[in-house]
Amino acid sequence: MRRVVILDPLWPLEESADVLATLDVVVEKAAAASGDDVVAVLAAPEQRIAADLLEHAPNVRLVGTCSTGYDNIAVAELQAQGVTCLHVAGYCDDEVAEHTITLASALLRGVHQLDRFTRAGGWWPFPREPRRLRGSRLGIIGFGRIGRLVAAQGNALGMEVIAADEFVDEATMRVLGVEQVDLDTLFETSDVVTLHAPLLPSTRNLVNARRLAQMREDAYLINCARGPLVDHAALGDALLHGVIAGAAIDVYPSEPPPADEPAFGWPNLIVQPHSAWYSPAASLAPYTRQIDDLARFLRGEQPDGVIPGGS
Amino acid sequence: MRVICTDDTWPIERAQGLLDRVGATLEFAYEVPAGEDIVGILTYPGCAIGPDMLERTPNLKVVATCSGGIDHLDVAGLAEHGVACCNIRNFCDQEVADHSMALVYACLRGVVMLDRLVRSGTWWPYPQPPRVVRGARLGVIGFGAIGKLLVQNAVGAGMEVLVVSQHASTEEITAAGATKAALDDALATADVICLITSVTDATRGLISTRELALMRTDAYLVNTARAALIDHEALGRALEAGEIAGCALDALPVEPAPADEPALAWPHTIVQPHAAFYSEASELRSFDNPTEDVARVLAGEQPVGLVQPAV
Repeated sequence: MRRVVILDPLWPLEESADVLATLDVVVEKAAAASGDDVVAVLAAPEQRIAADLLEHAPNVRLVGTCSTGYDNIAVAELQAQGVTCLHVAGYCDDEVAEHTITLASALLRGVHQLDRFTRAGGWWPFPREPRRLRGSRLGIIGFGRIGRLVAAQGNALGMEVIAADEFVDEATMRVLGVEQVDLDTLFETSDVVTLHAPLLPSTRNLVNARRLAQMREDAYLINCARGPLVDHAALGDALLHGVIAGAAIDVYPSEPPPADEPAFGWPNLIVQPHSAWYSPAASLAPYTRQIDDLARFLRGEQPDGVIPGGS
Repeated sequence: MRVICTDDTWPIERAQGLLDRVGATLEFAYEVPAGEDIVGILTYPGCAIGPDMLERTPNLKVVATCSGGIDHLDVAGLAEHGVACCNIRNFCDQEVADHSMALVYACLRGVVMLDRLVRSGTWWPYPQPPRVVRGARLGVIGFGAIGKLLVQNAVGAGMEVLVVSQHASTEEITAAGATKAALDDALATADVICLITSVTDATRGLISTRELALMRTDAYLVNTARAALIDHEALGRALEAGEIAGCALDALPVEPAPADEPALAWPHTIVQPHAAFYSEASELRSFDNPTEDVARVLAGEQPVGLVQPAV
C-alpha cells in the first residue's frame, strides 16, 4: 500500500482520524522517508525536506510543511521534479500579530527587564526608562497579512506606523494608516523594528551588523518571523555593546536552541519558544488543515495550501 | 521660609528654581525636622503625613505629593489646620494606560512566563498557553482619565471591554466602545481584570477571597493602581491554589519591595517596580507640578492640584 511519511514525531494524527480513515494509504511517523511506496512526506518547520528526496523515495508527489514559512523545503528543486509543495497560511495571523505587539509594548514599557530588576532587589532608578507607546514609531518590514495586522494593532495604540515592502505599493499602505518608507529610513528612525518577511535567499541576514548600526541607540528589534532573517552573532554584538537598546526573539538559527545558546547571556533580550503562532485554536489547525489538503491531493482534488511556482 | 522634600529622587536644583520666585529655600530630609520656618513639604506615597506634623511645623501651609494617589495624606486632618494638600493629576495618564495594556498583553500572550521557560531549558509544552487577545474580555475597574485611555487601547486591540464604575453613566461607557457592568459580573466573566481606581474606604481591599473566587480559573489580575485595592494574602492563596491564572502587579504593599515580599514567590506573577507612571516626560511633570503648586500656595495663588477634603 502507498505510504505517507510524517517526519514530525509530535504530529497529532488522532485529530485527523476521521479524514485518515477515508484514505487508501498507510500514514506513519518516521525520521526519514525512503522507499518506492512513499507518495507524500509531511514535516514541521524543524524538519528539512531536501532536494535529493526523490533519490530515496522516487514516487513522492507531495511534500508539505505544517507552517506558514516553507524555508525548510527545497521548493524550487522539488517542484522542478514534479512534486507539489504545501504550506499552511493564515491559521495564526492574529496570534503572531498580537504576540508581536505584546513584545513591542513589553520592550517599550520595559516589562521583562523591570520584572527581573525587581526580583533582583532593585526598585529605582529603572535600568532603562519606559517609554510611551502612543507616538512611538513602529517600523514593519514585510507588509503581508501579518504585517498588516501588526500595523492595525500599532495604530490602535496610537503608534506611528511605517513599513517597507518592495512588493506593496504606497497607496495600499496609506489606506491602512501606514507610511511607506525605504529600509534605510525604517532602520534609522524606528523606535521598534519588527520583521514579518519570509525567509528567502534575498532576506537571509536582512538584519546584519550594518543595519543594526543604522538603528537608534534607544531602538528595539523584534523577530517573530524566521531566525536566519537576523545575523544572530551581529545581534549579540549589538546588544552587548549597546548599539541598540534591546530585542525580542521568538525564533533562532536552530530550534530548539542548544543549552549553550549564547543569546541567553545577552542583555536586554526577551526570548520566546517560537510561541508567537500559538493559541489553543491555532495549535491544531496547521496539522488538521494539512491532512485535509493531503486528502484532497490523494483524491485528485486541488489542495488549499499549494505553494506557488513549478508547472 | 523653608520647604522640606522627603523624596530623595526629587530633582532638588530644578525644584529650587521653581521656588525662587516666592523666596523659599528647598532642603532634602527623610524626616521632616522641627522648625517654625517650615511652610511646605514635598513628598511621595511612601511618606505618611497627618495633622501631628503641625506639632513640629506649626506654620505649615502646604503638602504636595508627586503622585495621583493621596491615601498617605490625612487631607481632612491637615485641612482643619489650614494646610492645603495637593496631588498631581493627569501627569502620567497615557503612561499608566500604556503600561496597563502592555501587562494585559503580557498576561494573555504569556511572554514573561515564556521567557522564563526558555531560559530554564524548556521549549515545549507551555505550562499556560498564550491566548488570542482579539475578542478576549477585559474588565476595567474604574473609569477615570486613565481608565478611559486603557479602554481606548483595549477596544483598539479588538478586546471586549466591561467597565465597572460607580460614577460613569452607561451612555458614557457605551460611547467609549465598552459595556457597563456590575463588579461581580465583570469578575465572573473576564479574561483579565485591570484595577484603575483610587483607594477609598469603598475600594480598600476591593479584591479579596470572595472576589478572587468569582474570577475564572484562567483569568488574570492586573493592578497598576494601588496595592491597598487588593487583599494580598488572599491573592497569594488564590495563585498558589490555581484559582486564577496569574497576575501582574505594579503596586506592592511595601515599596520598595523588601527581599521577603511574598509576591516575589507567587506562581505566574509579573512584578513591576511601580513603573507604570513612568516616561521621561511624565517624571519631570511629576516633580514640577507639585513644586509649582507649593510656590502657588506660598504666593497666595490657587494651586492646580488642590485636593478637597471629603465632607
